[in-house]
Amino acid sequence: MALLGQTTMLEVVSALVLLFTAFYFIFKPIVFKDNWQAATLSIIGKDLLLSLDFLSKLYNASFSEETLKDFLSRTSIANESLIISIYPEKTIKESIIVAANCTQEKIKRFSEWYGLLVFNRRFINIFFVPSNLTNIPEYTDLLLICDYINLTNYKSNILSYLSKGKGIIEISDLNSIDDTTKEIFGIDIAASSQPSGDINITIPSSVYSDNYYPYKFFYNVPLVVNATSLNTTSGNFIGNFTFRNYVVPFEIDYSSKKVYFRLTSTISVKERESFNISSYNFTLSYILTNSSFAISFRKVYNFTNFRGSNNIILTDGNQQRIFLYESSSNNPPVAVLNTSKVAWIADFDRYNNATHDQKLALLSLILTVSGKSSYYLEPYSAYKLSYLGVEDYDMYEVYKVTLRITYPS
Amino acid sequence: MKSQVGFEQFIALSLFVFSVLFLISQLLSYYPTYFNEIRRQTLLSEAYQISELLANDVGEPANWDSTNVKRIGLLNESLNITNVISLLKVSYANYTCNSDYNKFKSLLDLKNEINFVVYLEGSIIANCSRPLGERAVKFSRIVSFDNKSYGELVLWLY
Repeated sequence: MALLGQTTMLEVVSALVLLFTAFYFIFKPIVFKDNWQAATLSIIGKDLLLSLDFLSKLYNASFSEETLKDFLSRTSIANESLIISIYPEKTIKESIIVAANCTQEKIKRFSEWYGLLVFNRRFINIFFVPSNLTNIPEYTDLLLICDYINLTNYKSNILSYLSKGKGIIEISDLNSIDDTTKEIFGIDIAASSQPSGDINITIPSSVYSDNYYPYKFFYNVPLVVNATSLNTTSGNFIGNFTFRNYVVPFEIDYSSKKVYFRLTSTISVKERESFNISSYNFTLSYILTNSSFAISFRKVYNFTNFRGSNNIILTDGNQQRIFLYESSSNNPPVAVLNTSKVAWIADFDRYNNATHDQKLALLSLILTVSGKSSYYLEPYSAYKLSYLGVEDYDMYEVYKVTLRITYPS
Repeated sequence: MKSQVGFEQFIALSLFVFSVLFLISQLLSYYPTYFNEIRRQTLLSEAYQISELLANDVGEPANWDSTNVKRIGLLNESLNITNVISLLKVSYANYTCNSDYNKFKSLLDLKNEINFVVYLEGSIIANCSRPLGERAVKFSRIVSFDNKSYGELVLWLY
């Protein structure tokens, strides 16, 4: 009898265990899954981009976190736990780091020329770091080689550097040339000839031409001109603006936001005003401080000859690779690109007397070969929306805006 | 032996009754949860549609005012730019909603109740609100105004 009772209890317990196990699997806690969270992020993001664009704040918000914060602070989004950021892409980088295989004196000079750039109302920094050709720093955007170096022993290093999307510029006078230089820059040397005639800028035949970007940058990007001393009488900073063979003294009247160019007569120029000196056209793009302003060169400009003894020929005959050429019978190139990532320019500073137009020519090449910005976005989950922005303050610039919006994880 | 059979039957019957009751109670408890969720989803969907209608439709007629309005839409008909709404239409909508709420609902073809507030850079410029019903859903849109300012259109459906 006792055994029978034990068996019954065992059956009851087994039945109960089975029953509750079955209930556990049948009646799971209810979880509703929908995509409203993602949809809300998408709607907020789209509304934000549209409003920023309509109010002409998209450009500033893309380059300045403060503008975006200020915009959001006057909406209820500021009180929500949302992480929102905007990144500009496919535009000139905010910071360009140049690995300079040059002497300390040269690096110092480049830093003085291009320490600070202002362009489309935003600042761009160009940093020059010393480098050799054996260990080119990975974090740099381009390699600048001063003076001719036989590149045969560095070919693999240079090709590896280029394969990472970086650029190379060589400023040199070429009296001899090695096969690696020929291959990388797509140039060869011919018998030397005497320089004659001005240096012209090639007009690109299409936006896909290698010389399109340096051409565009030269005529649109303002070059910062710094004063060199103080006029103790007026209390204004003074200096010289140099182009071609002209040395034009200037005085910056920061209080009245004017720059005086002292020629045979004095020209008074306000910010954003165009003017010409000896039939060459310029725009005073910015008066930055009491000792610096930024000036843009306007069409049509040509340089006095700085070809030196170089007599370069192209290995492929593609004239659209030429940025600058001498206006003479053979039109020898003075600055040449190769696939928009490699450029050679004659050493315009061989006598340490570079003029502002020549500095702008090199700057145009630096901006071209340094490539456009792209951001590495962390792989964690965030809703991303893309938008196309346009800015035309100094230069027509189309850029991609990526808005990232997410809830804190 | 007889009493043993009776005890087993009793246990079996108890288990059966318990199981059936548990099953019924579970089904009954699921019903309101599902019902509420369906209602929430429907309201959210409707709130989004209304927000789209307000922010991106000019209404009927396109230059409507509070006297001739047939359908409410706040988009500025002259600019006709996505998410750019007319301050004048916001004031007409606010007036219509506050003076004749049922008319306002019918102009949006709404069966549910609606509250809406329009902010211009943080300040309220239109407010048609009444005590919120249970389980109201909120939908917020960032909009620009035709005077080159921006703000928010917040609406609740319940």
